[in-house]
Amino acid sequence: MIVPRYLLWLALRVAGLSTGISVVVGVWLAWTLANREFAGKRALGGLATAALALPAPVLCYYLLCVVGRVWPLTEMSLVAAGVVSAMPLLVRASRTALESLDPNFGRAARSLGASGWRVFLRVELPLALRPIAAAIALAFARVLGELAAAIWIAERRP
Amino acid sequence: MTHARMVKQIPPRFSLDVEIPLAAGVTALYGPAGAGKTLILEILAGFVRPDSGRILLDDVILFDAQSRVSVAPRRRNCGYIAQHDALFPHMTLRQNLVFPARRFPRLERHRRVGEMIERFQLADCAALRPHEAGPAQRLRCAVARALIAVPKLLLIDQRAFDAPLLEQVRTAFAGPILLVTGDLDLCCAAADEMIVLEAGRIVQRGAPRAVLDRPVSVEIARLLGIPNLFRGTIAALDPARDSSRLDFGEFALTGPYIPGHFRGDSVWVAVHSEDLRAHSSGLESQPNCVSVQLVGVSHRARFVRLEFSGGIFADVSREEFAREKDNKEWQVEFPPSALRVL
Repeated sequence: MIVPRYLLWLALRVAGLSTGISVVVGVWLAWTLANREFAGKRALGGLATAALALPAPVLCYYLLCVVGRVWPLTEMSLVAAGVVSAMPLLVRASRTALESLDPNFGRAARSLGASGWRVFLRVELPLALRPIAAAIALAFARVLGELAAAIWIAERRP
Repeated sequence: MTHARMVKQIPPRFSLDVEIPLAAGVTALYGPAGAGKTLILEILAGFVRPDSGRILLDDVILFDAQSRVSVAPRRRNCGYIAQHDALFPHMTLRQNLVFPARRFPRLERHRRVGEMIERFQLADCAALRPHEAGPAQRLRCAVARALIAVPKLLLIDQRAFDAPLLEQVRTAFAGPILLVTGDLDLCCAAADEMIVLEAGRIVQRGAPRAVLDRPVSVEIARLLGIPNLFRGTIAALDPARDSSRLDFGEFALTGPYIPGHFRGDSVWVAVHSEDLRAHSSGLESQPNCVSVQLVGVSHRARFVRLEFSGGIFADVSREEFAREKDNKEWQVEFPPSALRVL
């Protein structure tokens, strides 16, 4: 079977965009979950894990039901579905990576006068980069894989 | 003025309640594990928020529970050297030094980094990453990194610190230094003041030599590692001759006059093991000599510790022990000036 070129390009574009959005939002969320105390932290963490456990076609089906009713099924709604599917994976992996860092590195950086952003960008992110990069690759692959299911379900949506 | 008063409850049982006026120079925090030494440093650095208290550094309020002021760690100007040096592993030692110097203009930054590299002998290893450098180089780099940020207070939670390095730090930094240590030799050699902590409370403070010579209670004497602690009663007191007679059941000793006590009082007496003289028997006429049996020998780095019957410990030099080790009968001499009544 020959896959039309436009479909491959669409899949890569959607997967790349949704992974990019997931990385920015997911790593920020993971850092917040790993470093901050706030009401609803456990619920948010639980939600991220639950979304990870949900079978991909079911997630896509529900998403497309919701998104498809509000907006017409466009590339952006596919990206939204991709973000929801990639985000839990990224949040989970990044949170574990950031939590496993020795807190002394962050403390040392802050006592040396570094701002929260600088500590994150210069110290925490480089130290946790490998597991986060692995999670990004996995998330990209997951979105790409689920896109087929999403498009297939979209064709037969209620 | 630099002054800290802090109270912190850590459930279920630990509570910290201390007041530390920090003068320029080295203040050593000494105490057993779990006494709250590291917690004090973490509170001063701003990593842990106390329940109540007030922290002033150079007349600037860093923390005040009443007015709910708590300055962020990065604005406190406290150099913090953690138990593990916490050098950033993905940077070279030079990059570690550049990290806190970012706020200086480029030329000034290079000058400061170069100066620290030279001062702490890091030129050979500046291009290495921390895991490639030796422990001593890493420690020197951690110190240089803390100093490059121009702190107003230096907090050192490093057990590997030695007297020469501390002297180097003192030449580079004139402000107050708070040092956590379990090394009494280091306290005596380099600290200006010593604070003895136990279970979150300051139990004694003062010049290190004075604290070691005059522990105020038997608990502190135990904390300071004084092995000879005897409970006895005062059998006689003679202020005119500045002498007293102390009865310990198995033996009796003559000591200096003990002011503030009466005959018959029960007292604890501490004697440093290095102040005792152990030798073969045959000096019956010597005052304060006690005949004892040798029950154990423990070889230390610079001396040999002998354990005698009656819970008496004496330190002798290795040469002295080599000469006398075949003794069958021993005598331990207690110089009257070595007896410390607690």
